[in-house]
Amino acid sequence: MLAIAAASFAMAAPSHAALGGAPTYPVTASSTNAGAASQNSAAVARFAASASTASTNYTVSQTTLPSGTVVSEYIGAGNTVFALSWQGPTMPPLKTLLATYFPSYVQALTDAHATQGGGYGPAVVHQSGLVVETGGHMGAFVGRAYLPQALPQGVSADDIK
Amino acid sequence: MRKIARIIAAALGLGLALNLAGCGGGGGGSSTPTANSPAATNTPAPSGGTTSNPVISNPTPNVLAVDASAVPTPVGAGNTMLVTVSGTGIHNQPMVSVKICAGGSNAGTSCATIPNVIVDTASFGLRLVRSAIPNATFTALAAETDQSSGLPLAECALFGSGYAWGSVHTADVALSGEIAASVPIHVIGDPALTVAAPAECQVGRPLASAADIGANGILGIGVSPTDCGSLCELTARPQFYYTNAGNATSVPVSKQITNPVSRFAQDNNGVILEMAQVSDSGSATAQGTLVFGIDTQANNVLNGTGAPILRTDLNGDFTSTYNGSVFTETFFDSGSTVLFFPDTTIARDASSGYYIPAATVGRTSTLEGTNPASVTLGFNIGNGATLNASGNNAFNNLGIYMTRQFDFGLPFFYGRHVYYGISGRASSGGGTGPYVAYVSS
Repeated sequence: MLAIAAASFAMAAPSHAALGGAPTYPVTASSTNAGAASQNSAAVARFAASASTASTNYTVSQTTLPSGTVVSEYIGAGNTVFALSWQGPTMPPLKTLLATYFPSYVQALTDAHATQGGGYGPAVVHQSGLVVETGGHMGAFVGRAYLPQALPQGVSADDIK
Repeated sequence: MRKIARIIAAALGLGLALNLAGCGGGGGGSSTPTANSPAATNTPAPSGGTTSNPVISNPTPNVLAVDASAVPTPVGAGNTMLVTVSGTGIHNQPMVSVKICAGGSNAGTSCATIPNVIVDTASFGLRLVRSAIPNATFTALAAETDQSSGLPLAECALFGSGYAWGSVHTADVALSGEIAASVPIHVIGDPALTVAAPAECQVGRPLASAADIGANGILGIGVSPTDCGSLCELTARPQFYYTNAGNATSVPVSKQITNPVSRFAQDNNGVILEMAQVSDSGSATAQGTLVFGIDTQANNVLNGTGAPILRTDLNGDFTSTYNGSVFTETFFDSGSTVLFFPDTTIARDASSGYYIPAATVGRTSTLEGTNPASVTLGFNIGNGATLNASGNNAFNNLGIYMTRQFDFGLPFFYGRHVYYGISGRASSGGGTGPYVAYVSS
């Protein structure tokens, strides 16, 4: 049921690359392929695997940043990223990865800081259109973000590892 | 944790969190040593085999954990500091006062005492907001410069939900009777640093003022002596050190922002954070003691206490098992205001993520150490909505749902002595760091 496949980036790409758009770290080969060019030359190693079943069809593209942090982009129909996750010694560039969602993410963090006693450390943002869980601590971060309304049919939040 | 293991379950319509919870899987996913490998298998989720009856009430009786009851060491000796939790704006933030002075003055010149600095056992180095430092003191703190360009040095420090961008200065840092001489500290929100934080640093909220942090600074006293280490000495790494023009640069370890404890003349092999227990319904305030050194004085004994010793990685992380899932990223973090962990069997608030069980629930986690090989740690989770509405500031049973990690935040610390052995430093009871340990009575 699992197959190695290239993301179909020949399709018309959205105007921005990130959550809700095309992958930030574009898939450029059909299998493990180190050194793919990408934004800011940030990606040093990457590979992609697709998962498809009768009712799910999406690709997980993993990129190892120079810091060692691994970013997984979950790519659905139309080469659109509907989720991402990360783990490693630094945070991934969330301003880039969340793109148009970043301002509302920061605003939600600020609101939680004011109303829920949120600190500067781990935090969760649960909105109808955006979920972010950012955890870990200095030297070891982990988290995920997804668009609840954009999850492909048959995919649940638990699939975002 | 990166295996695409639940696709089959999802395809079968079993992906609903509550359904999976009934299977005992807990939603954490199985972790493997090859965590970074792509999805290589499509074996069904570990909960497979019990999916035929996914919706069952939890048959496990609700056994509450006994509150830890260790009493803090009295404050008074030169290696002790008072720690308080109070109405500083954000609940469960343990605060100390930090004295900073001109570097090389034996903490005697141009000094200022900065109150309300968070004790953070999961970061490394002292960070203060510029606005909390009196001008007369700040002007006495030498600015560090980049070794190659000679430009003033800057850094961005990343936290779970925010980033701190600021300059690097040296100061004598006095914590009670202990002095770290000419130690590099982070001055955040420094208007002298005119270039904006690099884009890759902007990972959340900007932390530039006391209002942003809910404190005047962060005292990072975890297991690492510096906030980056040899990697930042060897190469210019984005998201760490920069010139004041915003260009990433390398910095020798000795000039990196440094855990001040590691620079003490004595009692420099670790710390113990000891918080007195609080009420299960929350307390208005909490007190504790931060003790410097491990097995170096009569008041910081680890050897012979029987405390489990948990070997950690260089950042203070170890492995635990919870609800059948393995978490390689488990840590004791006084800078986290609640327990952050995933448990789909506990009701939670949809927007805030706080666990809101109708009645307090008890849970256990299994921690992997070396002596003993594993230890069971019990904890309780109360109703976060009720607790947050109580007006109290110190809570021993607050939790928030979060996947892929187990963060034992400040609720864990109440009633315990929690030890942090610094990397490369030894104690008779803990051996050579990094390690963490704790006693509960």
